[in-house]
Amino acid sequence: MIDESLQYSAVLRLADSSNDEEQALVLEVEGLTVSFPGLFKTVKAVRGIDLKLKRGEILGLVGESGSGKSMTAMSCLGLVPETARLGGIIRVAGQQVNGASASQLAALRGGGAAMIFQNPMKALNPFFTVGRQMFDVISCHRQLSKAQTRAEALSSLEAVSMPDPPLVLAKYPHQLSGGQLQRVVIAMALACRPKLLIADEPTTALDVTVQAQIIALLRKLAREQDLAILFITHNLGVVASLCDRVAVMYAGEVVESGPVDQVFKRPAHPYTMKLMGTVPTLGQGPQPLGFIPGQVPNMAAPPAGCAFNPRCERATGRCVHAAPRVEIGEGHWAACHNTLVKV
Amino acid sequence: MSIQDISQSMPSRAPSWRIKALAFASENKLFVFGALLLLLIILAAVFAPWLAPYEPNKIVFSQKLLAPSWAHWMGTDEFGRDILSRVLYGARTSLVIGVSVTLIAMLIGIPIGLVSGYFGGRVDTLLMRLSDVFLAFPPLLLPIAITAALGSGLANAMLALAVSWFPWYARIMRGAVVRVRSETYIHAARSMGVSHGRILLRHVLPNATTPVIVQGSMDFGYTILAAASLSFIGLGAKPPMIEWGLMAAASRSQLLENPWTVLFPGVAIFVLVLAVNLVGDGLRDVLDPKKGTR
Amino acid sequence: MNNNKQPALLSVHQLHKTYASRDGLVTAIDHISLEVQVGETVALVGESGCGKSTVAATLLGLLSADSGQILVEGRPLPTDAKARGRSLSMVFQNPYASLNPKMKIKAIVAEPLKVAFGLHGSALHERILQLLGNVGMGEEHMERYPHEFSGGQLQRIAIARALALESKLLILDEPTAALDVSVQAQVLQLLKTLQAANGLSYLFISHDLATVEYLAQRVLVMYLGRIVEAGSVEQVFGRPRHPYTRALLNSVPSIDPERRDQLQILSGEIPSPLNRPAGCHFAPRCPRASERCRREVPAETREYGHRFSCHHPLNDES
Repeated sequence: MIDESLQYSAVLRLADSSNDEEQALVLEVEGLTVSFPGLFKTVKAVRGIDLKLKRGEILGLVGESGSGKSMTAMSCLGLVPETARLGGIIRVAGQQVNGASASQLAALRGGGAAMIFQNPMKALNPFFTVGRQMFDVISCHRQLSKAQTRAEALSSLEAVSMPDPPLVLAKYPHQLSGGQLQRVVIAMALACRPKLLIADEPTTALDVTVQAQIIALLRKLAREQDLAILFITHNLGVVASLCDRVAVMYAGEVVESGPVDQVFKRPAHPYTMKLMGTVPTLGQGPQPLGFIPGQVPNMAAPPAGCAFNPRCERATGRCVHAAPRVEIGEGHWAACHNTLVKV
Repeated sequence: MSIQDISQSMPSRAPSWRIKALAFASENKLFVFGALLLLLIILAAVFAPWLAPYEPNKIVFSQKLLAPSWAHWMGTDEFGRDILSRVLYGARTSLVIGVSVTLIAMLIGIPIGLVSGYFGGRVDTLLMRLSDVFLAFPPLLLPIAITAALGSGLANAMLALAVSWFPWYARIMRGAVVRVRSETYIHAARSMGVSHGRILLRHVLPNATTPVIVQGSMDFGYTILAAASLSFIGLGAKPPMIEWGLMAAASRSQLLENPWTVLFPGVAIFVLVLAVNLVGDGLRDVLDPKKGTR
Repeated sequence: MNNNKQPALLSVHQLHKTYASRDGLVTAIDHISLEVQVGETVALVGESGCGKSTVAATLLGLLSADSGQILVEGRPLPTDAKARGRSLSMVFQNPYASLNPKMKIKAIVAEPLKVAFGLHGSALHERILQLLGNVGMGEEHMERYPHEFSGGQLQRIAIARALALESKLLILDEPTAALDVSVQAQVLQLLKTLQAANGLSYLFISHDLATVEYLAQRVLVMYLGRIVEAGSVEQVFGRPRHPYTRALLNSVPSIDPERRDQLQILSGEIPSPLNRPAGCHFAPRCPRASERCRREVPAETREYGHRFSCHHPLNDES
């Protein structure tokens, strides 16, 4: 008789040993482009971005609508619409994603990487109990007995600080609050020990006190499980509280990237600076808010060179040419001809 | 910073209608196909007198039951009448039936559904139970009963069909209205003091009618089928009226030996119903002003 | 504290609203009172289930209260929808949903003008242009449909529509929650400018404390249907007395990464409105709760216009 628990821990150990080999890059994105070819025009949602994420690191992907951040996140797990055309390379936990077969992707999703979304109510099936849905996810990736699956589900719920896990397993999604549902979804995502968690605006629809709880939870999980998190949001405060590094996206490109304290304390790209100025902050009082003139570009025909240049106060003649990456500090760069910070 | 500074310019001008039409056509090939087919049928009906090679009711016994040939593309029936000409004229009858029955049924059903869905409560219960009475009858039974009572003939058949058909539209409309009435823009209108009547007409009706229209365009085909069925059993159109169902019925004894007499009217019914169904499927996209935006 | 003779623009007294649901009686608003003076912005803040949206719906006549008084300029709020619209109008949270998708912008703004003032013809056209111009939109937008616009533009159209009624008080229900960050700033700025230009008064409902601080002069904090603290923004945000207010303030993540460890993590969840805890609703989650809190509903304390309901308020010298 095969001892399944021994087998499972063997698998874990194998995974661990492969970690030691390289820098344990959980996510590698190089030159990613996502376009939607149409009859008369092609919409370029993502126009060449690079991202790197190590185990235990939390990277915030910040941008407004149309920046391409959600599309980037979806590409990492091959979840883009059929009409999309991908370019570049995406590697998740060593496995190449674009061009991967359906079965390779299926093995990756949940096992190597998992994703959570903004509205947990929509991610769960209203007809089945939470327990049933968690069992489905777990048994999809692991061969365990019923009792073991239940134990796994319970421990996943405990790991997300869910009060009274046995009771929650028996409940239906509509019987739980938004915060509880988001915890359930996170527990389901982590049930198969992925190395990467992609979170697409998971706290946007939550109350602020619940949001704080989820932020704390994600920080804890990143620490304890060495979990890498790609966190997509438009909320700069959440990024500052949660993330180690941040990449600011505009019109399908990353315009600035670096450690959070550097980027937020000394933003080098005019868009980053402007964006921060438009957000009212507590303690600031009724100070006038900054504003960005113009509007987001048409992604079927983005401006030549730096996409932000039509709206930028610092734009010069050079800005119609593609902006170079300027090293600002350790791991901090901005794609700009006229960075705010003198290098 | 003045308010004008905040103003955002509109995105680039909307593309010309030609480009929109081309894009639409390429995305909805079936709809375009169905629409063209329907157009052909309508043109055939309108121009029947000019297109028909023979008098549709001209009886020539010497020419009876001729197989399709160059002289008679669809052959002749047992009275020697040219089937092609009769099919062309029959298109008129069928189109008129389809439009009339569907329109009348909608004209009865839409207001009922509107009032029922918007006001709810006892009015809703009363109207829906009333409609249920009509819905309870098996499909053709009620029209048969009504025409039997009123006397056969196309007009009575059409009335009977409309009366038995309206409950569907009432129900669909009611469902759509119930959904629309909880939309925020209805709350906004109420909060501004807009009267119920105005809300029904300007807010609810335009937003709730789409499913009814889509259903109606698909029913169009079925009303024609139903009318043909009634004619088949002798309750609908009567000679010398030219109607496809009637043609098929009158010639049914010829089915095995001279099948073209039944085949061509049958195929005509099929083609019209197909065209109408394809159009109905695509109609919702055309009616929705959000088309083209993702 | 209102010492002048003029009655408050809006005066709500002991408003109470319950409704029956499948699982029992839900108290949505529990005897709340508030006031809005002419030209000021009063904010209602709270999280899910606090009842702030119910307050808005009740004021607008979309729901009827069980008991309580609503006075506009000292006179009871008219029950007739048309007359009520002249006193109060609202800007809703989701601009994509609050405008009829099948109506052109011109018709959307025209509707209140026709209904309330009977305008038509060139007078109507002129007024529509004026209203649109005040929010930074123009004639070229009139013949288009809502789906052709961005969220920020739609919200501006919604504001124009609300202003068409020339009502005394504008209720803003999370007007920027559904918008992009940089667009939020534009709409907030617009609201401020309009207020200054036209002497408008706002009742601003929001969960975003920073926005409240930017826009409002006075604020009321709600929890599970009750007002737990109220006062000027300086008082309530600067020296909060109720533990929930403090928790709320400290739960907002700061954009300064160095302050990330100051993020307060409040334990537990907001109870279901069906199962409101006895005594002080906040007691189960409150770090300062005592036995008394679980038994006894705290009475309201007033200190120079700053009111709060807590047995063990913060900074309590007594």
